[in-house]
Amino acid sequence: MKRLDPISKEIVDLLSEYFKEKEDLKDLAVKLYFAYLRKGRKGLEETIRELMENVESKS
Amino acid sequence: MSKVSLEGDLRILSLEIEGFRVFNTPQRFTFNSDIVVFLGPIGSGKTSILKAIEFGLFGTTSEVADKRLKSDDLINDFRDRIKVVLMLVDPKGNKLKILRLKRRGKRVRTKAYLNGTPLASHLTEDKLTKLFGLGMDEFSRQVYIKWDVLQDIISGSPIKRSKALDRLFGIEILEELYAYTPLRIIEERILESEEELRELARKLPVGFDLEDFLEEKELIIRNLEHFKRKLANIRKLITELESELLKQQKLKEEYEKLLQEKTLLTSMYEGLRKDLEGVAPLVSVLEAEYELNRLRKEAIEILKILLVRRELELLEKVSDKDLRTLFELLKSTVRLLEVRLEEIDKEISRVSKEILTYHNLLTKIKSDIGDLNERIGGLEPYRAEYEELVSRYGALESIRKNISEMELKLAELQNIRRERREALDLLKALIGRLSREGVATCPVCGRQLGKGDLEGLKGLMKKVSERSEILKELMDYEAKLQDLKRVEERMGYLESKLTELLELESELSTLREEAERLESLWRRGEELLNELKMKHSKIQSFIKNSKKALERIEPTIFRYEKAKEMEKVESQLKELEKRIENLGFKPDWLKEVERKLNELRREEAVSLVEIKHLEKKRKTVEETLEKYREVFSRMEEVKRRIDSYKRLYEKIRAVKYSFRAIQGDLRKRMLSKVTERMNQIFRQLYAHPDYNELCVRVVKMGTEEGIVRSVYEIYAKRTIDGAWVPVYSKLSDGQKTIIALALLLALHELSAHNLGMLILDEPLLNIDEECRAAWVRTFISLGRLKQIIIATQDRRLVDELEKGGRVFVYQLRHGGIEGPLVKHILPG
Repeated sequence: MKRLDPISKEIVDLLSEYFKEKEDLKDLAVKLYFAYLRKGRKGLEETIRELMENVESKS
Repeated sequence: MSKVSLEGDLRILSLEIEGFRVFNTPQRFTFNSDIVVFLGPIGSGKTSILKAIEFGLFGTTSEVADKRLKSDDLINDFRDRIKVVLMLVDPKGNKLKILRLKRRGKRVRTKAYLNGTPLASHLTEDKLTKLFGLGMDEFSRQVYIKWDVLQDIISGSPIKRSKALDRLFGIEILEELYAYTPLRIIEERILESEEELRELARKLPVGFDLEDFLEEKELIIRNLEHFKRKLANIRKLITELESELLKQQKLKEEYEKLLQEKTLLTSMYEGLRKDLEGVAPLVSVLEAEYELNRLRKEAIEILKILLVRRELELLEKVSDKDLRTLFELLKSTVRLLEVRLEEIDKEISRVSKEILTYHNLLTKIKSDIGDLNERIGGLEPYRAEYEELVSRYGALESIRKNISEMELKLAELQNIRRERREALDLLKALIGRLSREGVATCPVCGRQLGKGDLEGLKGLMKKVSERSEILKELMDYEAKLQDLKRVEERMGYLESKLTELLELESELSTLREEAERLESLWRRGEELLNELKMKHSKIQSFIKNSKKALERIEPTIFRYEKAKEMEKVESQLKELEKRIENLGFKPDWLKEVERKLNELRREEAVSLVEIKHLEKKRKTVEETLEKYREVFSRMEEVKRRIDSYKRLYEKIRAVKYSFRAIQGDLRKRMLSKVTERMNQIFRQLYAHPDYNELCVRVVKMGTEEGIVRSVYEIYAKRTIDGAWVPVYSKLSDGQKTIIALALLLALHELSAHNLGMLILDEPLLNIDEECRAAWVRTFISLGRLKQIIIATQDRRLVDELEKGGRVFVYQLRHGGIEGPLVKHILPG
């Protein structure tokens, strides 16, 4: 696993703490964070569209 | 490709610029000191040099990266390309040369050389980032400190200041995540889906609401199930009650039957009781019993005499104690004997008549016998004559046989005689003819006779005439026959007399037998008559006595019988009442069962009607569903999708707010790392005694939109009273600048990149002389910093730096098309 930069590590830790009883939300938050970190707003949009596509395919 | 790597704290050796922003013609800057200052008025190209360093390091600038500018905007208006060459060196003397070329409309081309060896072109940017230990964002925050950043930290709204600090800490990403998380994409999709839902709903009949419809369907199904359950329960109860009803009805039948029996018995009892009223017994039961048994014995005797077996057996069998049967049997016996008595009367009469008849007949027969004896005596002499003739001539039959034989013999002899006569006549005629004619035909055989036959014929004629004994014999026979015939005639007469005699004798014998028989019959008749008279007398006497006795006994028997019957009926009644009681039939309970059953059947009918109604409704609903099934299905699908979108929306919204929620904690963590060093630097930079310590707090703040946010608030500790004073509202701009610089320097020191330079764009505006001097002193003494590059229009800062003797200053002035005029002014 790629080693996280210090701030990302802090943020992931804080998100884990914040969503300690909601694993799915934690995963979603981390996913969105890294999507933004890598691709900025485009990454966020892509991730959310992908999530919506999952929703559509399931429904 | 070089395998040599750089070792931290890079600093700039030189910078070549061509066609970049205000720089048209090539300019080369050497960075021969730890402190390099670009001095010049506004727009003289100071910032362009700093941006060129940024471009050299990263191939772009923060404005282009943030899309505030296009990359072509970096190209000088009079040129079509940029060329920036940046030379860096590490503490060991390894040199990194970066060449950036950018043509208008083209992408930036990069070449990098490490100690003269080019880096692989496809790895260049990554390799460079790795070598620098930071990206352009971090560079903009930690290395290249712009005036606007300082301004943002020391002035503006709390949110703006917080954003600036977040950018410095590199944690503005949370705010950006919060701001840029595009919930609107989901909202739009939800709106689109809702519109799709409405579009689908428009395909349904006007006023048709799917949810209402589905609710109605659910309601119908629930009601249907409810009524079916209810119906099942009702039917179960009905079955139970029907079984109970059947049981009760059977009991009722039995009960009614028993009641009828009871009524019957009661009326019987009453009848018997009434029958007994007014009936007085003449004898006691014992007397009656005795009398009846006595009569029975007499009756048995009589019946034995009369040979009446049936009644006899009945009487013999009946019990002594069964008075009623005995009584009735005796009565019937009396009736029978009365009939028999009449018969005996008739028999006596008949027998008497017979006796008389026998007597008369006997008298007459005796007279006839006398007459016959006389007649038989007269015929006796004929019998003696007959017997004599028989002894002489034999029996009449024998005589007749002889006569017959003699007549046959006589006839034979007469025939012989006649044949001879005829033969003689024939012979005489034949002889005559032969004699006359000599020829004749034999009349017997037809042969022709001649004269030669004449002698023979004559001899024959002699032979025939010579037989005379036949005539004698014929005459004897005729005399004997006459005699026999005379005897036969007499015997025939005698035989008729004898027959008459025999007939009379036979008649006499018959009459004698008849007389004997009649005499016998007469005697037997006399005996029978006596016997009949005796029986008659006995029966008559029995009948008379019996009738009297039975008449006397009857009331007793009647009472006895009735009493017994009453006793029996009473016992039956008691038993019946017991049975009724044991039957367990309760008329009220039967009525209750019937009532409940009727009620349940009504409920059953109502439920069935309701179920039928609901089934019909359900069918209608299902037909409608089937009709709009596809639309419903699509609507359901869209609804599910909307729900899923909404759930996703809520999740992402929660995540979005989480980014802001953890902002405060992250800020606190970051602050905890820099606060101490910031205070050290502040105390060095700030030359005045009024404030001696800083702290940055993260506080909650409500926004106009009603959202609670965390913001930074910097406080300075006032020396005179130790109070923490909010920097933003209480301190001057100069003081704020010092504090911001202290924070930036602390942050720069704590960062882990490999760039040993600090680039400052107008860092000390509004700073007083003492602080400026303190600032310069501080900077010069900062160990980590290998190089400070400053762009300023403040000559006083250059003067102050010059005091340290390590400053290298370029002066810039506005030029023409060629770009700024650059002059190295220090060291001189």
